[in-house]
Amino acid sequence: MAPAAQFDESLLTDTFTIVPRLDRPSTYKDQQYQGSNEQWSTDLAKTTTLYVGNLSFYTTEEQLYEIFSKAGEIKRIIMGLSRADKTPCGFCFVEYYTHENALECMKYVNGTKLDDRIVRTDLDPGFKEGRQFGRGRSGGQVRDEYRQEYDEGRGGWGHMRAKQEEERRRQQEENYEAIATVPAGAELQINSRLGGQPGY
Amino acid sequence: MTAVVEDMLSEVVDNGRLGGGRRGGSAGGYRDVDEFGRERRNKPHHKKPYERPGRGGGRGGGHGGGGGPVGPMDEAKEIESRLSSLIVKVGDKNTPTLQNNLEALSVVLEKDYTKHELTVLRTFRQCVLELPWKATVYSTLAGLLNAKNSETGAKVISLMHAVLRKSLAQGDWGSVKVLMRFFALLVNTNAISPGSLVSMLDVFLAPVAALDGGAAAVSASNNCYVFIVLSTLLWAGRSLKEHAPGELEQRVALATRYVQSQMEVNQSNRLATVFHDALPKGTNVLASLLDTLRAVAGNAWKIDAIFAPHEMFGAEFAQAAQHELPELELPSGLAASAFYTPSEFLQLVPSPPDQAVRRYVMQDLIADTLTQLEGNRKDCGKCLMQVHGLCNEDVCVAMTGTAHPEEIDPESTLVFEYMMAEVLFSFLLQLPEGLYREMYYTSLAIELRKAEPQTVTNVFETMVENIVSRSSSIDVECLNRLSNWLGVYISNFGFQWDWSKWEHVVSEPEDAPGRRFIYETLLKLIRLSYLDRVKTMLPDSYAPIIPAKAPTHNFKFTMQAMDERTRSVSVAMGKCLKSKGTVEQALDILQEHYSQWADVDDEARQALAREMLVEHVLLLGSKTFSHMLNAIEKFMPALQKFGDSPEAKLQIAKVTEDFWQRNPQFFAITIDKLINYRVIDPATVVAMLFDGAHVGSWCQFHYWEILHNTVKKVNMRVVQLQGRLEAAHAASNAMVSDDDAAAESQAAAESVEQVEATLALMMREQKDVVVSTAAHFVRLLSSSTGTASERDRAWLAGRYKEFLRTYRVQIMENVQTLEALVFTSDASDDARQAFEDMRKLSA
Repeated sequence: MAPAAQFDESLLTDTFTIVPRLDRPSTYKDQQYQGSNEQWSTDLAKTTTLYVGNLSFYTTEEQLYEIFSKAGEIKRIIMGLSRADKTPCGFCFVEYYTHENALECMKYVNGTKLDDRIVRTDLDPGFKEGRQFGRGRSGGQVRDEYRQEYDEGRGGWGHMRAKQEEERRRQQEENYEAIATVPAGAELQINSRLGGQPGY
Repeated sequence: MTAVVEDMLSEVVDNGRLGGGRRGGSAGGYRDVDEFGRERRNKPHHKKPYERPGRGGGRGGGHGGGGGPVGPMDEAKEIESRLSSLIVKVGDKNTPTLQNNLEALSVVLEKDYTKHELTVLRTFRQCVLELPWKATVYSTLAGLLNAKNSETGAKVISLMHAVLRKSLAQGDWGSVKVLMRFFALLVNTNAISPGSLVSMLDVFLAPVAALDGGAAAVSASNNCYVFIVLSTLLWAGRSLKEHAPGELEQRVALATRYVQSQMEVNQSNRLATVFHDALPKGTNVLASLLDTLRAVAGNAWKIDAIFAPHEMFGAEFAQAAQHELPELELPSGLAASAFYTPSEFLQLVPSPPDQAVRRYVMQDLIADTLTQLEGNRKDCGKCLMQVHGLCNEDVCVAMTGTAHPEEIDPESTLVFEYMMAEVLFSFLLQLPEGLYREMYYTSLAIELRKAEPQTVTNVFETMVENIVSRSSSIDVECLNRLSNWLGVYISNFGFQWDWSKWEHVVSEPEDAPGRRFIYETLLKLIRLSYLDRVKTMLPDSYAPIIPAKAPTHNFKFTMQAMDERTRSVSVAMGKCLKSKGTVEQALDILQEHYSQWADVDDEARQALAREMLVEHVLLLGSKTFSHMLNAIEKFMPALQKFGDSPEAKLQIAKVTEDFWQRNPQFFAITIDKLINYRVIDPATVVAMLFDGAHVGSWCQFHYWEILHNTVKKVNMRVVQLQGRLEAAHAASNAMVSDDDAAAESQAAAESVEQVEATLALMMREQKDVVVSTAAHFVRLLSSSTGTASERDRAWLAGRYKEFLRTYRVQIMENVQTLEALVFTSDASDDARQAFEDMRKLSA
C-alpha cells in the first residue's frame, strides 16, 4: 500500500466552483463611487444592501417588502425617484440587517418576477444620500433615457424616444389642423380597352 | 489531445449542459456579465449607446481563479479550460461511447497531469461535490487514473479524503454524504481496500457501537451518522458482500439495532410528521432507508438504476495499487441542530410499488443535487433535468421530450419529473425545518418550470392539488409553507392558475383547512400585486372569499364617529402632524385637551391620549413602508413615553392591530418595527397575539407570521450579541498580550462588560418570550374556552407543535423554568405529550 500523497494546500481553501454561485457581485461598478476598486470589493464583501432594478414605476414598497422579506428581515427600502418630479422611476435599494440575508436574496430572489417583471438585484456598497435619484438627463434612470422599446410599466417610451414621438404628434396635429372637409378624390380615368368598368 | 477526446468534447458540448452557450469552458473561464448578472453579449450592435467602451472588463471573474480579463487566452489556459470541460462533461449520458470516453479522458489526464495538476484536481474535486448524480462516473475515472499511475491516483484520493475530513469538521453533511458515496464506489476500482472503507464507516458507527449490548442513545447526531452509514452501504454493499461479507453483516446489524431503538423511542412521535394520515413507518426515514437496504441486499446488493461504468474496466482495476487513508474524525462541539436531519421523500403521486428501490436511489441522487447546487438555482434546475442521464434502460421515463407525456402511467412506470417534484416538495415541507430557506425551493421550482414549461407546469399542478386534497390531514405549518410557495410561484407565471378545480371550497366554513389555504394564498397574491389584478384572474364563483375592498387602514377618529371634544383633539392632532409639527407640539396638544377632561380619571385620560397619539402617528405613516418608518422614528420619544408599562405597551399593540385590521401585512410590518424602535417589547406581542379576542380565529396565518418574526428577532439579537462578545473577548485578549496598549486594553475590557450586560438582558427577554408563549399555548389548549370549536382547536394545536419543534433549542435552554411553571399537572395530556415529543426530537 502506498502512503498518502501530498497535494497543494490551496486545494483545501480555494473557492472554485464549476457552477458559478449567484451570490457574487456582478462586474458593475458605480461610476460615482468615491473610493478605490479594493475599497469597492471590501464594501461588497460585507454589505447588507442591494440595488434593485427593472421595477415597474407602479410597484409599491409593500410589494417589494413582501418578496424581499423572503430572504430575511428588511431594515429599510429606499425608492429610486426621478430627480425631476420625485416619483418612483423603477429602481430601489433594499437594506437587510445581515450580509447573509443580502446573499440569500441574490441566490433566491434575484431574477424572479414582481408585478410581472423580472427583478434584478446586485450587491451594493450601501446607500448614500443622493443615490435615490435617477441620473438620466430627464431625471429618471439612464436606461430609460435611451430606451427604444415601449414599456408600459416604465412610463411608456424612453425619454428621448418620447420626445421624438411627442414631436411627431405635434407635427401631425399641426398638419391636420387646417383640414375641415373630407376630399372627394379624383375620378379614375378608365381606358375601356383594358376592360375597366367606368365609374369604378 | 487525441482525436477521440476532441470528438468527445464536441459531443458533450453539443449537449449544452450547464446552460449552453460558450459555457463549456466555464471551469477556470472568465464570464463577462452585466450589472444584472446576465451574460454580456459582446457584439457591437448589442451595446447600449450609453455604455462606455471597454467597461465591465476589470473586476470579477472571481470563480475559476485562473480567469483573466478579455483578450486571447494563452495556450496553457486554453488547454486547462478544455481539460476542465472534459472532466465536467464526461458521462453526462449513458451512451455506448462512455467506456471509450472514460478511457480516452484518463489517458489525456494521465499524460498532462503533472503540467496541469492544480486544474485537474480542483475540477475533479468539484465534480464529485457538485455533480452527485455522476458518482459512478467519477469514481471510475479516479480508478482509471490510479490504475494508470498510482502517484496520480494517490493525489486524487488523498485530496478527496482531505475534503471529506474538512466537510466533516464543518458539519457540511451534504458534502460528507456524496464524498462517502465516492469512497464506497472507489472500492470497486481497487484504489482503496474494502477494509479501508469499513474503517471509515466504523468511525461513524463508533458512537452507536459504544454501548455494545445495550441500546445506543438516540440523538440527532447519531441519527445523522447512521443515515450517512446506511446511505454509504447502499453503494458499498456489492463490493463489501464480495470481499468482506462478515464485516458488512456486522455493520448492517449494528445500524439495524440503532434504527430499531430509534423507532421504539419515536414510535408515537407525531411532532414532525407532515401527513397525519400516512403510515407511521413511512415517516421514519431511517427505517424506510433500512427497508430499502434490505431489499437491495436481497437482490445481491445490486443497484441497477444507474449505469456503473467500473464494471467495464475489471481487468485494468485488478492491477491497480491500493492506498491507505488517514483516520477520520467526527466533529466535536456541534449543536444538535447542526446535524443533518434525514429527509423523507413524500409519496405525492402513485408509483409502482415494485420499483421502490429504484425510486429511492433516483430520489436520493436528486436530493443530493438539490442540496449541493444550492448556490445557483438556475444551473441546479438545468442539472436536475439531467439526473436521469445515467439511468439504465427502462428504469424511468422522462416526460420531457416524450411525444405524448399524457399517455405515461405513473402507476406502472417511474416518471422522472414526478420523482424530482416529490423531492422538491419533500424538502419544502421538511420538518422540523428544511435545510435552506423556503424561497430556495420556490425560486428553484420557477426555474424548472421556465426550463421545461410543457411538462413541469402540469407536474407541479398535480403535486399541489394532491397535497391540497389532503389538507385536513397535513401539518398546519406545512400548509402555510405551501401557501407561501404557491403565492410566489403563481405570481411568477402571469397569475395563471386553474382555480376552478377548487371552487367547492367556497361553500366550506371559513376555518376549514382547504378554504383557509386558498384564502390565505389569495391574500399572499394580493400582497405581491394588488386586489384588482388578482380579482380578474379568479372565477366569479370566488366572490364570497375575496376581500371586498383593497387592503387599507381603519383610522378610528373619522368625523362621524366622535363626540365633540374627541373631535377637537383629533382635528388638532391631525393638523399638527400633517403640517410637520414637532413631537413637543403634539404632546402639548394632547396635554392641553385631555387635562380639561375633568370627568375622567388620570389613568383613563392617559389611555385616551395614548390611543389618540398612536392612531395619528400610524395615519401619518400609512402611505408606505418608508412613511411608516419615518413616522415611528420621528415620534419615537412620544411613543416610548406613552408606552411606560406592559399594559400601556399592550394598548399600543392593540391599537395598531385595530388600525391595520384590514391590512394584515402592514399590521405585521408595523409590529415588527415597533419592536425594533423599542416602543413595544417582544413580550407585548406575545400578550397581544394570545388575547382572548382571538379565540375562534386561530386559523389566521398572519398571527403566526407575527409570532415567528418576533421570536426569530429575539433569537437573532442573542446570536449577534454572542458574536460581538466573542469579538470583544478576542480584542481584549489581543491587547492584554501587548504591553504598549494597556490603556486601550482597559477600554476593551469595559466593552466586554457592556456586551455581557446587554447579552444577559437579551437572554432574559428570550426566556420571557419562550416561556410566556408556551404558557399561553398550554393555557388555551388545556381550557375549554381557549378555542371556539374543534377546528379552531386543531389550528391552535398545529401552531403549538410548530412552536415547540421550531424553537426546541431555546425551549430546552429554559426547560427547568418551563417544567416548573408551564408543563405542570394543570396542563392537558396532549400539551404535555407534545412537550415530551419535542424533548425526544431535540435529544
